[in-house]
Amino acid sequence: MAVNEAIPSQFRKGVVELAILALLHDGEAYGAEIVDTLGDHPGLAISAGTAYPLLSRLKKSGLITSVWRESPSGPPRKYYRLSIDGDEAFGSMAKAWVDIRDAMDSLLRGGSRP
Amino acid sequence: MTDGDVSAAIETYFARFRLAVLASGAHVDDAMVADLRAHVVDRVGGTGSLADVTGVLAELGTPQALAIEVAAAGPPDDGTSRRTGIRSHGRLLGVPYDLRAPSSGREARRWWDPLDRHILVPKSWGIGWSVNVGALAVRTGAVRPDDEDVPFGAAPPRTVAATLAAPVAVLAAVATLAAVTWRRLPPTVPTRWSLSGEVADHGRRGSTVLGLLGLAAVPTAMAASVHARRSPALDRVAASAESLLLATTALSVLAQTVHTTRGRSGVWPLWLGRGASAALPFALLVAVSRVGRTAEQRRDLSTLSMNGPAA
Repeated sequence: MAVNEAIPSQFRKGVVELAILALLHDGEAYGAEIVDTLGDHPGLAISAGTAYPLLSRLKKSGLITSVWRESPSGPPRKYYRLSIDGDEAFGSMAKAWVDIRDAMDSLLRGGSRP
Repeated sequence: MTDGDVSAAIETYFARFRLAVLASGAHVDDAMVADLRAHVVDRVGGTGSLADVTGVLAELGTPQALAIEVAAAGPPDDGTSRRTGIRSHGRLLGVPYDLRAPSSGREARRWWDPLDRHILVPKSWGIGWSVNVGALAVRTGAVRPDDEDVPFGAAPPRTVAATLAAPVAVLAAVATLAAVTWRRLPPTVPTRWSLSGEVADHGRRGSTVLGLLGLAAVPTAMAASVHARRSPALDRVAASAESLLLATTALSVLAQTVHTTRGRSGVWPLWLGRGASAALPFALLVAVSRVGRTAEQRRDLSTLSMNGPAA
């Protein structure tokens, strides 16, 4: 894989996980809803083929849980929400993200050397 | 305090680090270890004391913690043997191969992984690709990727066990057909046909019928052993589905052999069998997945109705 392809992939891997946690921090959501909501943000848009493995991984790591709920239209839907651990992890990751973002902004502006 | 003490502290740290790397099974190359050591020496400086070394090494964490960190930051294990340098699995000229010992778990995950959108996936053992029926089921709308938390995990144990009845029934059909038609089969029987229905190859009656019985019986016996080992539900259902495919294939070839030896034209038994050998395992896997999904829904929805709607 070319470097210019690999770097965005590595970026997205971690960032999209945090984005999903952020989305679920606002309230529970079902799979298609998560895909659609992230799709509203061009830099975070992912396909269902990417979303479900990510959700599965977050669930295996205990950061989110899922529950079936009746749907107002159609068959029941599986909703995802943050677990207690996920809520804590989201807080830490959000803080880390702000630190990283600030540091990166500083570096990208050319202020790497104090 | 001497330079020797400083060097010894660094050497001891990296000796423990190497041991921790070995224990974790991770792969860390010598150049990277040399870079880490150079980093420590650089931070300590030329006139550094033992306390300086201890401080710098403390920044890196314990050797065990550093080994875990380095392994996590490195590329994933690509299956390369430390001893031979040969990769046990990967791609050669774009074609996937896997030389690891076959396992029912790996085979099952190749057969049914609805979270993987790829229909053609590398074989769990051998060269080439196999079909991920889970992806096919998602593409056709038969299931959704997240229908089940754990594939077939919520399906009742008796449902999982009952899947073995399918290949056993087809095996019984192969054995019955072989027993009933044996005397009427000629010493040499057709074994292969062209698309137009012409016989393309022949074989001896005994070896052909026994071979077809084996094609049905051996995978079914292997599936039975996966069930007997109390393997995860995914392994058991996938083993049932795979043996069902092979048993149905054997039945269709035997039916075609009987059909042709009776002087009848056409290869419809073969085509019917090929269709069934694809459709029946698909239907079996989808059916068990739906049973699992229904069980999950019943569990969650009944809990909700008892507790009232969630906030």
